[in-house]
Amino acid sequence: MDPKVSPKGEQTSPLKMEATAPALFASSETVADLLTREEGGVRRVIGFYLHDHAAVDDVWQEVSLRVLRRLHTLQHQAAVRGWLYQIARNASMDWLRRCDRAIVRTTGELPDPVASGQDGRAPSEGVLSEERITAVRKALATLPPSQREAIRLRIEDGLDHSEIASRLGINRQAVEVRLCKGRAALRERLVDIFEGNL
Amino acid sequence: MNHLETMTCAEAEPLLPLVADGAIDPDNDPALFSHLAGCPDCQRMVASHDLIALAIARPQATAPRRATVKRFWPLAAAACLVLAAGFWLLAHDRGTTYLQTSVAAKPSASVTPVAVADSRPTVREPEVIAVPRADGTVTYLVRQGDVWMPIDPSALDGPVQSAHGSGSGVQVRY
Repeated sequence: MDPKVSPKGEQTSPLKMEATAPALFASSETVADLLTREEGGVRRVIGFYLHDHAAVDDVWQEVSLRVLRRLHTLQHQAAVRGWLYQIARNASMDWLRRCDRAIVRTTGELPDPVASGQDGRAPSEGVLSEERITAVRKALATLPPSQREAIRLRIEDGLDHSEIASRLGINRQAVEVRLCKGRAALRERLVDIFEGNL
Repeated sequence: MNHLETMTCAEAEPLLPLVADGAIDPDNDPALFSHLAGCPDCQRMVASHDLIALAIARPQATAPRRATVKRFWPLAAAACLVLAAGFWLLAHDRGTTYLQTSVAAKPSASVTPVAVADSRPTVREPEVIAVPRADGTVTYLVRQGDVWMPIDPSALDGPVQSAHGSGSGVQVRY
């Protein structure tokens, strides 16, 4: 990111800038202050998605950059922590998708279960191991067809709720109910796998 | 503490699948996200919803290239063998024709006519040829498979037909 240039032509680090969204933080708080204050919580969120400390560091840096770039999108001062949480969550998921795509593109195969990384695992391996993918597909197969189809259209085909409603001939609220119940049921069946060692 | 932090986990939990689905974001439900920002238990649940979706969204593993090679290598090997055999037969046939042509290029009344230009498999091929050398001696060559090897003329069980009158003086026996 280009450093901000002051009226006197002096360059200052973005992290030293005053928050550009007025009244979002305490009057003297800067973006750097915000990041320093919330770093622990943000790293914890990232850690729920990644198993690798180096990867957490990478995503934390990405979160810092996104905060600087998107500060203007923050709507409410009181929502700053929730906004930061969402950025951390999205950055973590984006990182996992990039990592997985890179592995598949390079090798044409699923990630090696014994690929190197912290604790002997690749950063995305804990998430996308064969064991987990198989368990998820089995759990998905046990859902009622109506919920399974809604989830498949939403996640696999990327349709939005209106498109799913049109496809299935039901209203949008019914789609959200099916998605909500289906996702809850999947998590219930997979909680040991996905939260046991997170 | 403000009103955004008053939501409880019991209130938040039913909404978490919709957070994972992207149907709820910090702008349209700041109270829920404020709770999420400070609640590790709910964060963990959203993370598991997200990771399950990531596993579902993952495309089925593409067939590895190595597997493709493994599947087709017997066919490829067979094709190579057929091609190699074809080339060998072609080369063999041309070599025979060349040799026969070199012999027939010196026609003689005493030499049994050979359809040297005909490459059909039925054409008889010479078994022994006699090649006069500059010192007056003759070197006899006998066919051994695809190659011609010198042979002691005393080992021959019959006369080699002479190519009298030919420039080369090559004699052949069939």
